[in-house]
Amino acid sequence: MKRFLFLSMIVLASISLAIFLSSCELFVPEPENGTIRIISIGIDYSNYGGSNKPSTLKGTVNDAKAISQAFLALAQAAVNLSEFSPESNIIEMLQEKGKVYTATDPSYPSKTNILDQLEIFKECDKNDITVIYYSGHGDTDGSLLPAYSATESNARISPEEMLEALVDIPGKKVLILDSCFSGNHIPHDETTIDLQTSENAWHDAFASLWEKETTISSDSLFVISAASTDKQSFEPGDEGHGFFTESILKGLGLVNEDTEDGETTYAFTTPPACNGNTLTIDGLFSYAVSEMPTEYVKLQSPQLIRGLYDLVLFEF
Amino acid sequence: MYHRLRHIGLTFLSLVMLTILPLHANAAWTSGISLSSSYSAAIPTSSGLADQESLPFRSQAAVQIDMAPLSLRIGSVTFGGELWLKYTSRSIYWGNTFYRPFWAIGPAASIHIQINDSIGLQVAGTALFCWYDPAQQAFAAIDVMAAPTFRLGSMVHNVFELTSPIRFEFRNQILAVQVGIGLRWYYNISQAMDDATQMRSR
Repeated sequence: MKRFLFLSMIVLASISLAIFLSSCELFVPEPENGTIRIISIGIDYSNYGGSNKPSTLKGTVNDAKAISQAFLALAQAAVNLSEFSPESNIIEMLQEKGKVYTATDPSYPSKTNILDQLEIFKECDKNDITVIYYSGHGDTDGSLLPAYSATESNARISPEEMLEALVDIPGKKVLILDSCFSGNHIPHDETTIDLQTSENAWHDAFASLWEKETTISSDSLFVISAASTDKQSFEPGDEGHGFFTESILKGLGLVNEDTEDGETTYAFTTPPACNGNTLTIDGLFSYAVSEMPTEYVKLQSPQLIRGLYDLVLFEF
Repeated sequence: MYHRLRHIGLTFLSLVMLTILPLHANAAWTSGISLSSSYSAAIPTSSGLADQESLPFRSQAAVQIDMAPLSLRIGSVTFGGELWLKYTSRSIYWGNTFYRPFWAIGPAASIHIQINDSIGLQVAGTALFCWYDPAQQAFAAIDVMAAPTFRLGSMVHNVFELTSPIRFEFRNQILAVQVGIGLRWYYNISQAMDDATQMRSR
């Protein structure tokens, strides 16, 4: 009788385990691969005609060009993307000194053009990844300062407007911001506490455990910001890169940069920020922070989206 | 004033218990450590999270060290204060997202009941402080465990046991059910001290 009971329990446990496991990642077919799209925005504000003319920035256009080149090289080497076309998947929106722009040029990074471009991305597939990179000024509330346009003077893209523009884009969205106060673009999350700002982490963490009305961790929006909500982002002052973007580029595998005949060329290797053969948002962020000069990490406090999820950008 | 009195009272009571309880005929102090690894199924408990998840749960692995520097055994029951250190791996990739890996640490209270010479049952509970490393974010979890133990053997004052812990980890929006296997070692301090005393008096 005892043996029968024992055997019945073993069989029951095995059936339960099989049913349990059959509904997890190990047995359910994975979603199909999507592609990656990037809008790389760099603004130097040299043509600004508004009343409050912002200071010109020397590294922002270089930042945006290098980021798009880095993503192009990585996307072409990656094995986790379905189809990738440099012409349609990499979009540079630049405003740089010495170039003349017409009002109808869709690659000019005015507020309207940026939001229009995001509107076009609403036709993406649900398995795609859309990356929005921005290098430029940020206002004290985190609002991004687009390029000057006579028809939209002193225009800003607030964190709320950006979120609203992104929410209807299918698939995963990655926002990488190298601008002052860019931490304001990271949605509030009550499931975790920030160890950098919490004065009583133990108490705050347990308070969050009992929090009933919590924000749901998003599996579709991933944000990396060069600065926290109340800190500025810096560039060295020459025509290099912003400190944060330079570290991101190192993480993406930018190993050499030469300027020949006014054109910058880039060389890439396997991204050092990879963990094995996978490049994730958390991996890229932690590598970038480790590569940044310590004094600028303290000055800027780069931030990462909070919550449960991490995202695979590329697999090689 | 009330708080100070309460603290003094609790400290006094603890000292009395610690002094009197070992005087029990079958009382002994032990010290031990256990190492276990588990499969963890992270199940969304909030409807919002469950709605956006395409899987009913995500699979993670967990490795845990439970340190029990001093436990009191009275008869067949052992009471222990433990320190748990735990690492939960990232979940298996699903599409292009996965749950972040995290570390956890916390003090635990444990009771082990020896049912017969070879089989026992351990139950324990803790409040864990957990953190995601690169993101510099923290959260808390309540962890309760039940683990049947099977004595593998003993050597002088050392006892080795096989355990199969089942854990329920309650986090905000997530319930993680963990099933694992591990090894538990403990050292009988009282018996070792008795033996040492006897050796000296010979």
